Amino acid sequence: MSLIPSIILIAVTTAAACAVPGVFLVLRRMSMVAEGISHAVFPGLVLALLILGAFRSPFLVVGPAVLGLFLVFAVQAMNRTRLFAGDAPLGVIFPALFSIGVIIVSRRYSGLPLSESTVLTGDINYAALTQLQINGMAVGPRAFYVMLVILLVNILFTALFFKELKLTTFDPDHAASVGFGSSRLYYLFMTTVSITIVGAFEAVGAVLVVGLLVAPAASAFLLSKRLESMLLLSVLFAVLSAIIGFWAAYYLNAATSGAMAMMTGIIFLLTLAFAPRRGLVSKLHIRARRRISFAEQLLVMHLIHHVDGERVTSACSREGVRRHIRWEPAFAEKVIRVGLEHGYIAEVEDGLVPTMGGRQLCSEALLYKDDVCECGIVRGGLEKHEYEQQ
Amino acid sequence: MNAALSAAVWRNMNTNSSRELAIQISDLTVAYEETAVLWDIDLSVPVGTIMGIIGPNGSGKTTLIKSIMGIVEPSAGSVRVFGRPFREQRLRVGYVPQRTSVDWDFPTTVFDVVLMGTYGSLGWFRRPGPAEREAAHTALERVGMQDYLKRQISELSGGQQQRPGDRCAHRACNS
Repeated sequence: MSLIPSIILIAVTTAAACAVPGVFLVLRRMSMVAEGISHAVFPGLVLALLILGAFRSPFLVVGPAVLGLFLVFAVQAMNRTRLFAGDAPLGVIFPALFSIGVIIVSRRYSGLPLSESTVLTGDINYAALTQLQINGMAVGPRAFYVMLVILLVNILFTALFFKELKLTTFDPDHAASVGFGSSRLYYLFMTTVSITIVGAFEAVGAVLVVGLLVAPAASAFLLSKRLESMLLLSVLFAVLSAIIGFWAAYYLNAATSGAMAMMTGIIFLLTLAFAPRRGLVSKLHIRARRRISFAEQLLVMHLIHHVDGERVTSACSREGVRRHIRWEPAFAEKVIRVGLEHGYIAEVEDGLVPTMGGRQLCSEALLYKDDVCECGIVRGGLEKHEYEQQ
Repeated sequence: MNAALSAAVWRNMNTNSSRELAIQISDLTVAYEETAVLWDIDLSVPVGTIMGIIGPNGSGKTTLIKSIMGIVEPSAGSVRVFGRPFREQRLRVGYVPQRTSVDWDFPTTVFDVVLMGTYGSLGWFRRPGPAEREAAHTALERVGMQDYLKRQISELSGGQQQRPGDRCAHRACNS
């Protein structure tokens, strides 16, 4: 298989394989743990290389996977001592583990193709060159097949334990109370995460794999009402990032892994800005609407209180309203216009008055409906009105 | 009972005094790091009782509940639910957490939450089937939330947010 399809295949399978467990990492607020694992596995990788002596053995994942689990376990143990708050244990343990790997590499492996930079950012082009040979035919990059297997394992794991993962993530206490409380599932999940991270090293390296794990899932989160859709969207965004990232890197002559990770970031920013309901634009829009709507109610309420009183002219004229409520002139004009449009207020020669519709609006807005009589006057107000006891 | 923590028996629905004990707690001591929160608690809750547990902050109310549920291991004493250890009676106990401990942004709908109440009785690996879905629908109808099936849980009002949790716990008991 030629170079470009090879690279794309590796990129897509790596991204997809990360996107699946990434969903649960994001939902469990464990994104930084993934960062920790990606660094902590490094000495495991180095030690596995020392023991196995070969770069291409499938058992190479065992060492890093064990280290990944060790990190999670050690962080939990440190948390239980209650000596630290937040993620201090994580910040202490993973750099220590990573530095052990760095020291071993610098001492024993100087000169061999295991550079820290490759570990950190991967070398997808090199990975694409190493093809799997069947009967002398190069059927595709070895890394692609490895990540494909990991992707399938992740999909199967998620499908098999879907409801358990969902429940233990959503409501751990309830899950524990109905029998899904053992930490076995948790450690099994973290094992799949560790293996995924190690597999992704070749393509994107330790630092950028976190981008693939977290960003597509975070983007999907903003758009999903259900866990199923979050998983699908996460994979979709990851694959898109891989493909677009690859082509961007191709035309810009830049690092593929960096471009991929950057695309996940761009997709996330776009989702953050434009997601319906949860996106920033949507939220600004909703807030603006609410502000007008609340101001409208305020205006009608004000008119109801003052329209039968003594200071009616000063309080209920257009100018008076603006002064009493202390609005900016432009905003006051806007609210009055909206109120007239909606029919909650009406304009008479002296000023503004609330309509029946407006009184209805206000009585619905009040918390204690008993306090409002039929005409919409709040009890305890003017003696002019007689109202029944409720 | 500890002085700070008192159980108020709110309403007895059954006047027969020699009835089965729903919960029996004997000599329960619970400690965190060798600092005891509950000392030597004895408590019997007969079937058909509605009991409120009152106490100031930090008096051990949540700890008591958690030790009944087996979430916290006691340093001493025992908890029996309908005469057996809790783990044998999981499916007969429903637990509704405080509202604040739920993740309202989780991608799940009202229906999903209630359906999750059936997970306990399904055990590992089995998927919820038509029977479980039917049960979830019924449970939602009983609290009048059937129109909110597909709403993501953060789209509900405060009072509405309590109901699927109740239903979930109820489902867990009645499956």
